[in-house]
Amino acid sequence: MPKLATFFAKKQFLILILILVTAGFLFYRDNLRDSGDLLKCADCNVLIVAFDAEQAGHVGALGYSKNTSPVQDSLAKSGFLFTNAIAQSSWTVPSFMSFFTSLYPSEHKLTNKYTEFSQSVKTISNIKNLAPTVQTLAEVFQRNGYATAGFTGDAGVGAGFGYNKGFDVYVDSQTPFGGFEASIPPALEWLKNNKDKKFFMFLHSYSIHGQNDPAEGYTKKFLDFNYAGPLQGGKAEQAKLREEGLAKGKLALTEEDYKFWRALYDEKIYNADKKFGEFLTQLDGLDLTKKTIIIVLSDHGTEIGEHQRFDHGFSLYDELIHVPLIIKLPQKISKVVDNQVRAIDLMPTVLELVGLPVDEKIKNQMKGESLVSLMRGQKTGGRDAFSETDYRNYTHKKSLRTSDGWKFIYTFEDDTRELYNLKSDPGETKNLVEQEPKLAYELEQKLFQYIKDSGQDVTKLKEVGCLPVYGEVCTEKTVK
Amino acid sequence: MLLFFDSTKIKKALKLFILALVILGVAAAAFFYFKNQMAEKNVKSRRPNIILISIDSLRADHISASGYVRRTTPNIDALAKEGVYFKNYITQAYLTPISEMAVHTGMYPSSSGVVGFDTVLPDNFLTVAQILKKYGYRNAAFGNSMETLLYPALKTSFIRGYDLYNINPVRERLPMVESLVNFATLEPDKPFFIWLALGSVHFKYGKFPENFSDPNYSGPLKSQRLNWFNGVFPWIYKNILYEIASNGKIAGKTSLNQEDAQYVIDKYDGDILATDAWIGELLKRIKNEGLEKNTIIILQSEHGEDLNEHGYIHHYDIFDTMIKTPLIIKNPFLSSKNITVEEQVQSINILPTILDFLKIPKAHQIEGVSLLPLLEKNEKLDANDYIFIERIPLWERVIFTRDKNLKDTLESSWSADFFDSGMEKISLFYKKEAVDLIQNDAFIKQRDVAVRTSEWKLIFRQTAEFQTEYSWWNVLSGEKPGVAPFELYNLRSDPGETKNVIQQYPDIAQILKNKLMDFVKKTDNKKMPEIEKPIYDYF
Repeated sequence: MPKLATFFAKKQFLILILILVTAGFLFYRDNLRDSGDLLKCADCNVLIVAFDAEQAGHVGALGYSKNTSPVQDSLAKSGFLFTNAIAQSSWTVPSFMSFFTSLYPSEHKLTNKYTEFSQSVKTISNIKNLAPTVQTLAEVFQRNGYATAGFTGDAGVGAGFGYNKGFDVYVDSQTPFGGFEASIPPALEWLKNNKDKKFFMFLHSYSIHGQNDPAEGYTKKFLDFNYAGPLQGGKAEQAKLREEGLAKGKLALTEEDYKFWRALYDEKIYNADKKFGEFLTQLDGLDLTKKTIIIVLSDHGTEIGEHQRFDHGFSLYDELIHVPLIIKLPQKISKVVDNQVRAIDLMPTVLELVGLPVDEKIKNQMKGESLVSLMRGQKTGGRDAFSETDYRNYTHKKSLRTSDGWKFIYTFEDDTRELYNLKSDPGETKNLVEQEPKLAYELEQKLFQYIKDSGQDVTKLKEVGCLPVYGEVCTEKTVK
Repeated sequence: MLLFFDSTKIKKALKLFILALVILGVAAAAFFYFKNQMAEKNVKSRRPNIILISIDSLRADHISASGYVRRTTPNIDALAKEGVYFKNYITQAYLTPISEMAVHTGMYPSSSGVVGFDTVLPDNFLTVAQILKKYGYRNAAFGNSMETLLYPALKTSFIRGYDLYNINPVRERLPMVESLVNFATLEPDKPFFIWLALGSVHFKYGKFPENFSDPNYSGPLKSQRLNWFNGVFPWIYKNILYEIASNGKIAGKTSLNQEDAQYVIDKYDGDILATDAWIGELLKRIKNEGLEKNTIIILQSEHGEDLNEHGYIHHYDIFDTMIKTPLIIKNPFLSSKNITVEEQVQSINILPTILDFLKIPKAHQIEGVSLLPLLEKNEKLDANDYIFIERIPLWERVIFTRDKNLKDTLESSWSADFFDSGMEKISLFYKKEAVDLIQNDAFIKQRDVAVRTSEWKLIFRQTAEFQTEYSWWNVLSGEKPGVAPFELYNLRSDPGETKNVIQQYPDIAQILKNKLMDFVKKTDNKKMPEIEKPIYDYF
């Protein structure tokens, strides 16, 4: 039966084709599984909530063993949780501006508290003077008819540095290093008056920062052992330990001392998280939840002895640059994104989500990439993250954290190099520069290429000037 | 439809289905397996070997490929035919180790910090050997450029990254080709980098029996050693041979003529011929060992030699006689063959070119650009439009810091020739205050710098004052002709650089001065004087 034979031949052929097509489909599944415009949230409000100094490792949603952050955790569950978000600096002044401009600190130039500091001249750094043509996220919203408002704990994110650029209203806490108790009330007040407008809001708190002592004190609810060591907690002690760590390089504290301090830190996170929860309830009460994108982030972490020191700014280890990042859309869409992402990716992401027009100037400015493709489920495409810190009269470092789990840190004042395998050594304790000479060499070249591309002079990076952060006295060189 | 339920047909279809799946699976597995295998193999087997031949003191115009009247370099010429020959290769300095460090690091001397025979390369700057070592290369240095062995600061800087550092201090003793080949073939799985630091052309001249000189020459240089420290060269200036009495005073002056000058050149050329013969032997062995196809050969010289053009027989300054040398690059993986390049290139191009050949990222310290675009696509390299040359350290400093630095290393009996320095004679003659000045560590920063285009050269004499007062030649001749802070030469009309035309071409001088100013600023904190200063009376 030749006819039937042909028929079968066709059938078998079809089966083969089917298999091949299926295989091809599986292969390109990532690209095909585009959820289209489901993520878009045109005309939505944007609310950025910053938990200043919240270490990623202490957030429940990011794997912490203690229940420090139930509100953030539940937000993460109903939104997009980025488990590998990297800040571009390890302290407030340079770091936040990278979120807001999609530029690395040495590109937006707000790298330090002072631009010049000497006996006679003390010039406070201000983004408006340092990079007058750079546009902030708030400016773009403002230009597009949004009401823009910022409510902060002052200090490193105060209007004095130009952080108010693009905000109709920018209220810094009256007390330095103010927590949510300082920023939430005026924010709510403003929301009540502006809830019918499209708005962009930045709500910031120092509640868990080392320089903020909680008015309510500590219940020590996270202290799960009987601490009998010498430490008491509090910002004075924190400052003392910071200075001691910087002076000596390493603190002579015990693991119990650190555990005690971490318990207090956890309690601060818990309390801040709780206040944030109350704020969300109010937001809901104003009927704003359904049209507001809520973004939770931090500008840097904090060190409590991970490398035998205290506080932040002076290193680029993960306890300082790995930060929480949650994007909660009004839509019911959630996902955990494990790809490495960066602070500089926030601005293009927000603009894409809200669908604001991005002109050539802004397009050229932004060094980050929108995260929307990752939110849609694209698995590939981790991003290399550069971070940098030019801290006081102490150190000048830059790092490259690769998307495949390596970190290379270069310290300019003494040309030291560090290489860590974050997968096998997440604590960054074993410097592999000697063991992995080729990788260290290649990452160093990448890092320096980035420095060159951003127009910096390497010889200048070697000069560690004296630019106070906490009012410390500079005795050596005074002009940067 | 009935047919569809026919069990044998279903079985057949199923069989086919399973077969298709199996084939697809196997094919996919094989694809990924071989893809990985190939990738790994490529990285391992594709990195070629490198031989860098540095011939000390070889002038650009004394190899026969350049059109020299003599056939001094048949083997180097043959290499040039197999590769690319650069007729205008400019070295960054006029002294062997300073210039060679620019090759080894891709950096200007003032940037790398190796600005003297007593300066050490900072740890954070990598040499070619150190970089290649990270990529699995076996590195060896062979040769007899003694500076990189005898001066502790230089040895400690150059030895980095080499598994074998076989430098001997005898200029007559070229390396054993056999030991070199042994090293090259020791571990065939791993690529090698061999640096040949050949000091056999460097004075003294007449080291080798084969030479071009007239056996009947009977002039005043006949029985003299054609050398610096223990020879006659310090005492020859502007065709006068000075005789020094034991009290250090000039006892007599003998005029030298064209025949005497030619005698020196003949001896120099003879040493080139002998060195070339050794290179021929080496290249033959490379070929015979089957290494040729996988070995990139780069041949260059760290500096040239002035043969009376500026009055002396020496490398003493940054005129073209002393900083223009041959460069040949033979890369068997490129199609460029038997090509002569006229465009000027420089020492700091070598390392980035090597890294580019090997697909290794360029080290950020490197200030030069890769020559690959020029080699591959004949692309003009704007970065070489302005080449900077440093005269650092001054030769006077080299002489008078020499004993201090060599004290410890020269205890062995490596080289009687090197020991018998004739320093007493030189010291007797030179001025004490000058010696004190140049032995001062701050003096090492004193330098002259030049910017060179294919047509012009502007020299900025930061050391003008010192030169006027204490230049060896001024002290010897008793004349003080004065040194201008700026010299401008038109290399086209005046390749010998004899006529300073700065007053005729103020606009060109200004453009070049600005370029030089930027370079000086980048590498130095010293302020340049204004070009308009009225101090050109001597010209």
